[in-house]
Amino acid sequence: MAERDLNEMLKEMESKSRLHAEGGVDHLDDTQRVKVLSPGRLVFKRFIRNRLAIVGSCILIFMFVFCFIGPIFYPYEQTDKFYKTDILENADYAAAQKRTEYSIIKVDESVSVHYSVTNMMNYYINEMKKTGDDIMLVKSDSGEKYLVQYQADNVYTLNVSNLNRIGVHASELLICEFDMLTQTLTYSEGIVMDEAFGEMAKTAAMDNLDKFVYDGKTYAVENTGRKKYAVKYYADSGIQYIAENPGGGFEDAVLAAITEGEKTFEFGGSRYLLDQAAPGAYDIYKFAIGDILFVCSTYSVDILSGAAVPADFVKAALIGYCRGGAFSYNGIDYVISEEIENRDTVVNIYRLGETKNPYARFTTFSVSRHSGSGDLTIEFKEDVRRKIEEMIEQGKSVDTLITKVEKQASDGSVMVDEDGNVIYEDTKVTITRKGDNYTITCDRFRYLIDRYAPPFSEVSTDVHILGTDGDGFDIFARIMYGGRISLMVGFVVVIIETILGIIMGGISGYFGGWVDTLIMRLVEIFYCIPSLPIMIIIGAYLDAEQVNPYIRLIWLMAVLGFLGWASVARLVRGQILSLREQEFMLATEVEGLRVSRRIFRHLIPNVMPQLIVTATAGLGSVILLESTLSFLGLGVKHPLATWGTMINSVSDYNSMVNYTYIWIPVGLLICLTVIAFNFVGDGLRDAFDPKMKS
Amino acid sequence: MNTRNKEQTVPQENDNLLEVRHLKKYFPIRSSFFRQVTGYVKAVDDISFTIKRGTTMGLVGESGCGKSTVGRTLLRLYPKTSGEVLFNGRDIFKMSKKELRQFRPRIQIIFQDPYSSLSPRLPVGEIIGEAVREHNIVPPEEYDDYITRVMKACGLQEYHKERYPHEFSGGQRQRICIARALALNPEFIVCDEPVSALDVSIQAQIINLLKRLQKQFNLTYLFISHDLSVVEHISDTVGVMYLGSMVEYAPTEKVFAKPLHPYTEALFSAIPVPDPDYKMERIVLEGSIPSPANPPAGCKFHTRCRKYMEVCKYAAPVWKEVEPGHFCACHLYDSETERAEAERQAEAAKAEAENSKAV
Repeated sequence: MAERDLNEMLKEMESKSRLHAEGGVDHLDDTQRVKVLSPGRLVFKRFIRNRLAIVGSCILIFMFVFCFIGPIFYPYEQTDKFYKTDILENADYAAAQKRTEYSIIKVDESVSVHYSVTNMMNYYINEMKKTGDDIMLVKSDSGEKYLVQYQADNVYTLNVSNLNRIGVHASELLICEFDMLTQTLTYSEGIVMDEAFGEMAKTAAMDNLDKFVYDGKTYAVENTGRKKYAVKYYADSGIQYIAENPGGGFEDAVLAAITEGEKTFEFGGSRYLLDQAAPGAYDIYKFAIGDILFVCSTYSVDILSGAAVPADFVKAALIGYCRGGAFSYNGIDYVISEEIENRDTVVNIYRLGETKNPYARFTTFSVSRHSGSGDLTIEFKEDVRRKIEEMIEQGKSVDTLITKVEKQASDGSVMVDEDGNVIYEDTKVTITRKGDNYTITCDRFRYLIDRYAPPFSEVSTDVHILGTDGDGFDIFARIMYGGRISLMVGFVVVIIETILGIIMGGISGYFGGWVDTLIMRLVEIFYCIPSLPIMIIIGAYLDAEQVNPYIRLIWLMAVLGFLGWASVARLVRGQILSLREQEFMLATEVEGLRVSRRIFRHLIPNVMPQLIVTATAGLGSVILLESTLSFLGLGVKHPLATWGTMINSVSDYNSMVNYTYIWIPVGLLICLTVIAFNFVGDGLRDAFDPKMKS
Repeated sequence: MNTRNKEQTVPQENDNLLEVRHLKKYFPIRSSFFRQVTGYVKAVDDISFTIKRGTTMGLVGESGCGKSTVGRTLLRLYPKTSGEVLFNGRDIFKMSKKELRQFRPRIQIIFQDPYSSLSPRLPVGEIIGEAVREHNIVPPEEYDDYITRVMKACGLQEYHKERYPHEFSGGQRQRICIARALALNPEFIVCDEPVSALDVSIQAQIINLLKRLQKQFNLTYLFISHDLSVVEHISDTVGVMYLGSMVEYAPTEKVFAKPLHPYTEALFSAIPVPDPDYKMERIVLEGSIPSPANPPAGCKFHTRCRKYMEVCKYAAPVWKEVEPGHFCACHLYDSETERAEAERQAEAAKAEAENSKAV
């Protein structure tokens, strides 16, 4: 071919024409003065003339500034919890209990006592209280005998019994029992009679006689019911001595004790004990008190300084009390003395040498803090105890008293003077009885989560413009942070949708053929996918996996974007199909431009206007969808705020009616944002379409 | 391929820039459901011509006769069905994609519609210069000046560079199209009805611009038009097409002075003469153009021809040089041997048709 250079030829022409034009006057060219507007600038010009679109844009700009820049200047975070102090009327302060159950303290851990005795201790003590005895013989199921001894009020001991059986006194002796149904004759323990007696007893019972005579002695037969008969021998047989007879008049003393129902009696300077072995039969023991095995007491110990009482100290004090009133604990010696104080007998424990101020005191009351921790003063405990005893006397179940309770600062903390001592003040305290337990209540300051604070409420130094929600979070802060997520989700989802849609639609429209068919069928499948059930399944899966809320957010955006590209792809494909046949696309082919350049420089810019319009309109719907999903609990999770979750927090009727300040602002913001996006979308559509009348 | 094609002769000269040989372009007709091919639209059916360097060939014919398809197929915008297109002796259809892309600037096209042939979102400078940069037509440092020069050569001002197509009138847009084609330094430009969308005064400007550019830069044009006066004005040779086939080809003066083919005669009788006293002898063609999917047998024109003979129905006329440089395909100009051959063919075809009717 003939090589020729167009450029050189043009240059030549230019120089020639310049020679011609030399000295010629440039004529005015009006077109040169017309301002040049690119298509984008034209669209912008038309857009800013649309009043609604400008309103929409202003709202959106406000939203973005509010949500993305606002939080920087707002003092609270979305998850800052706010607290308030409040006077809690009749807050539980302490609990008191009058101890009536005797607790058993083992003196020697190595000695074992049969459980039938230890379990029955409270019963034995109550029996002794009823009869007024100071001593009681108890037998275990395994046959051992023990003595329960009264030591002081509320203090009993279980002792080893050093019994000396002196004799048996019987006034009525059960010989045998006869059961007419089985024809059996059962002899009482220790009684042996011959067969003739048995026969006589049987016949007497059968003949319904009330007595018979055998071997010169008269025996009585008594019907004890149900065809059972008891054969008894009445005889004042006196005392059969096993040991040496203590002396004359002893029998009278025994009889006197039996007739008076006494279990113990004194004779000749010694104590004796009657034990009813069988009806009318008594074993007579001379006894001596043996070693103490258990101490049983309803006492606990209050240390007067208010310090906590170790269990070992109580044990040592009680054992010491039983052994004469002195004990030592942790190397310090203590003395116990009973004193009269306000007409009550109190048992005080002194440290040896300190006789003025008692160190501790026995008490049947346990008074403790309701919270379980912290100490109470002895004055408070004493006041409460006295009041409760008064209540018991008067049969009241509720009563009040004035006593000293720690003074509280308004934030709920305990007030302290300069020396670090707790300040007390007189407070009205209410005692309520519930069985053996007493609840002590008084008005206290409490530090609480500031839930559902109304707008502009001021608690201490925090001011909440829109109040707080059910978790004590500041609503205004949450609206801003929630808006961030809602707007971000909207944008990211739309960007994902658009990118996927451009790629898929672009491939489909530009290449056509089987690729187009494949992608369009895929688009149809995506149109058929029900997105809500899929979101519910994914939400459930993410719940089960306990995914971090931020990762959950990414998932949400990815899934929403992935489900939404189909409509964009369809739009892009349609546009590209029509653009592809336009002559300027043929021209690019003739010019030999690369495929990528043809797509990205010629096709995509021509699709962009429609894309921008649909994307803007889509933003609003994505924000709504995100709110819906969050409302259903599938989207972003607590404590991350989004507008949807905020409305969800007042989803029941009661809170919706009572806490309107939570959902109305959020609802308004959602409405405004969606409307604004629609305004802008409409404005862009009109601006891109020059045929529309303004 | 029948004997007629073998005998066909093509004007042969050393200076031929473009040579089209037996070019065929059939568009498949597909059924709507299974996309099976049920027939073909024979848009270009066996066309041959040559264009000498620096000349203009006019291609005329009524609407739908395949003129534009010829233009686009020889640019390889459509795949061919058969035949070959030699440019400077190289077959365009045998080039690889890479070769084709490098070759592209040498052949350009100017479209009929200046509105749809410019991308609305690019400024004019970019439309003209985009491919210049892509193909490195000029060194990068001279690029801006080069575009300005090309624009000036096409009657555009430098400040038009930043403007967008919607700001221009139709004539200016066509100038932009011409500048876009020219900027690639082509040797051959297919002008696909470049002036039919413009009003008459602008048509003259564009035609004169094209002629001027041809003279200045030694361009070769294939000028497709249905406007015979424009073709007469610009062309050196003229081809007349009817229903996908070339029926007459000759230097412009010869065709306009003495059209041989009855179709050409009818066509040229419709040229308005700017003289109120002149009495026009219009030859009115009856009926409409037959479907290119099912063209008539024998001579394609016989259904509308004033001078048709029995033989025209069955035997296709032979493409032959009736006068020196004047080619035509019509039975009217058959020699004795050709007439005999045609009648023999006609008899055979008739017999065959009757056989098939009997069956």
